[in-house]
Amino acid sequence: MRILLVEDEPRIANFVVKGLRDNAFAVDTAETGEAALYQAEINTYDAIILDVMIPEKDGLEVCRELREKGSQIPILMLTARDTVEDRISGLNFGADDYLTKPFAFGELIARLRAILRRREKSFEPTRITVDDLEIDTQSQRTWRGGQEIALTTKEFTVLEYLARNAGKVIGREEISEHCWDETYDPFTNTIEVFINRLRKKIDAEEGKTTLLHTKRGAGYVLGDLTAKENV
Amino acid sequence: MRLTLWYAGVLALVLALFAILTYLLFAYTLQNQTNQTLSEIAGVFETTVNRELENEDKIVDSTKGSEAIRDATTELGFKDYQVFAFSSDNRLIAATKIADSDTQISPEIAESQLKTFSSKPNADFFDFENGGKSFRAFFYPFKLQSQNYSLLIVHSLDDQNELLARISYAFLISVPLALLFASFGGYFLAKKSLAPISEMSRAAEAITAKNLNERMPVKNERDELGSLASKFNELLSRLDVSFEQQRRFMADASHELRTPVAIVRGEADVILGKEKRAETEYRESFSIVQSEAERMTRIIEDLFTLARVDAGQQPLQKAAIYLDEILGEAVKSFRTVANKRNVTLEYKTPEEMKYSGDAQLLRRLFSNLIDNALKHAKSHVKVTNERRDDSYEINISDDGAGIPTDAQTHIFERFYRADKARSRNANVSAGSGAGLGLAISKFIAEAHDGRLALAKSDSHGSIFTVQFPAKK
Repeated sequence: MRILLVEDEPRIANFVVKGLRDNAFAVDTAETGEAALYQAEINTYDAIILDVMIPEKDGLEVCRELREKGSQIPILMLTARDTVEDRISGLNFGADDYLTKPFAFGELIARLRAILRRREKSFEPTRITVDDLEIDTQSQRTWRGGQEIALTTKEFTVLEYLARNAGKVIGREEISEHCWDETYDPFTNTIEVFINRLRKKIDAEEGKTTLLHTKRGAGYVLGDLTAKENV
Repeated sequence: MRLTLWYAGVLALVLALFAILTYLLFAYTLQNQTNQTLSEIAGVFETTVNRELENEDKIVDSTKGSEAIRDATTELGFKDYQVFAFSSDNRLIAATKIADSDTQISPEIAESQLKTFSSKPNADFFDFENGGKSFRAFFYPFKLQSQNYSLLIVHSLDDQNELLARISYAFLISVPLALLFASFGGYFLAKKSLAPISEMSRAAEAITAKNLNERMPVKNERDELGSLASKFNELLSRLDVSFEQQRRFMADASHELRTPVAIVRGEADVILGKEKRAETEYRESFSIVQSEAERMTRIIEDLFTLARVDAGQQPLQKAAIYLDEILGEAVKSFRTVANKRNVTLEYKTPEEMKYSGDAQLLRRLFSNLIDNALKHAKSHVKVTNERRDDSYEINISDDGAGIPTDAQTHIFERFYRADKARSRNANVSAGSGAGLGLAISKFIAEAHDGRLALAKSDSHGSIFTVQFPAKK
């Protein structure tokens, strides 16, 4: 999951980025409203965390413009103002949720996951199951047939994205867009390296169905393809 | 209602007093009049008797006196006044009659009254009752040809008493009636004139700190109540403004504190959210927490200073000081910061500036201004220090981009920041960065009988001037 954080107070941005990365999110930052709109335009984000009091265009305006352009991206507003009117206008301008500073970081993550979930219309809050592969997005733990698999944060990020889109062919570009921030260099084989590592960890056990498949020239699919074909 | 009662009471007292006095005056006048008439009649009678005697021969005869009296009695007739003449041995000589038989006194009664009266010495007038009627009598002794005679003139007091009775009836009816009317009138008048007051008191009752924007109804601004209501409204406006300022101050203060609190909390949450981290990460996180805690401390100190200013209880610890010395110290403490920012900090040491003030506060004033100048300067900050004829003038100028014209009038307001982003990102050193520095500086200057003003601000930079009155 790749997030755009729009926050002009560098020290707030600093810990939010750190915390989001710890929670297996890829994060880009913008300091002004204009920059936020530009980045949202050129990159693909899964959600935007938007501070209201930012220079140039304020958060409400950014939110309104994004919605006017037809963007469905989940938006979590962040603000130091906490009157009911502020919250109401935030939500009316098209934000999905609202969080006032200071906040518990856990709450930010929980609300972020909640608005992501709402977009996917998924009712299984933090657990995603693909065949006998189970992942918990909150605790960042992975199991295959009840057996826990240790993954690094980045490996988990990639697996989570594939699991959320289980059965669909996901291009390398799409993975980079959703799992890496803008520092990703598209001319490396980083993604192949991660896919290989994941495959070794998930599909290592003998006798299990292979879950992570490569579609040559197109991308990768997570899922029991044999079972699907049988249906 | 109470007012009406008071009014009626006072009015009743006044009216009663008036009625009683009138009655007494009347009674007194009537009595005087009667007495006067009685004595006049006595005089007339005596003159008449004397004249009768003069017509006769001048022979002294004991019977002639009685004769003359009898003649005079038949000759004289007084309406409502009966005259009885007695000889020295109190024997009735003659009596006049009056038309009204109701008040007719028989000679026997007159005689008996004379007898009772003779026992009382030194009195001319006396009252007596006869047949349920009051009479007034006048005893008048006189000499005729060296013989003693006396007259008893009797007048019925009926008419007089009736008149007095009528007067008191009139008063007994008119006074309560007048009182009743006046009370009703007073009640309605009071009610009508007090209606705006009750309306105002109802309005005043409904106004609290939460709806200070409401105003009292003003019916007619030119009358006393109208002007009272508008004065109240002016008071409410002033309260409203200061409440609003207070509210905004609180909101701004909590907003200013929110950011560092959010950082401290977020930083801690994130750093503790993962079990193992490198030591450098912990160190970095703690240094952030530390600097944010420092920032909060400064904001709280500033807020505390301002709160004390507002409460009017910032005690100045005045001592004999040298302004140039304090300014020099302040400049010195910024040397490192200036170097770091590649800004030259120029300071011209002037002559001595002896003053009486609070060294700590003055240092804060200068530090705030220098810090501010350093934050906005491109490359140069100049601090000058001059003695004018009757004042010390300290100028702090920078070569920054200047303060936008529309912001210039607001810079001394609390929490006002001409450029939000820039001052936030700048490394705060003296001020809290909360937009309180200039407000506090202005207060410090004014508390020392001085003045702080923005002397100039354009694209070439800004100059802040502090002036203190110089003591000669």
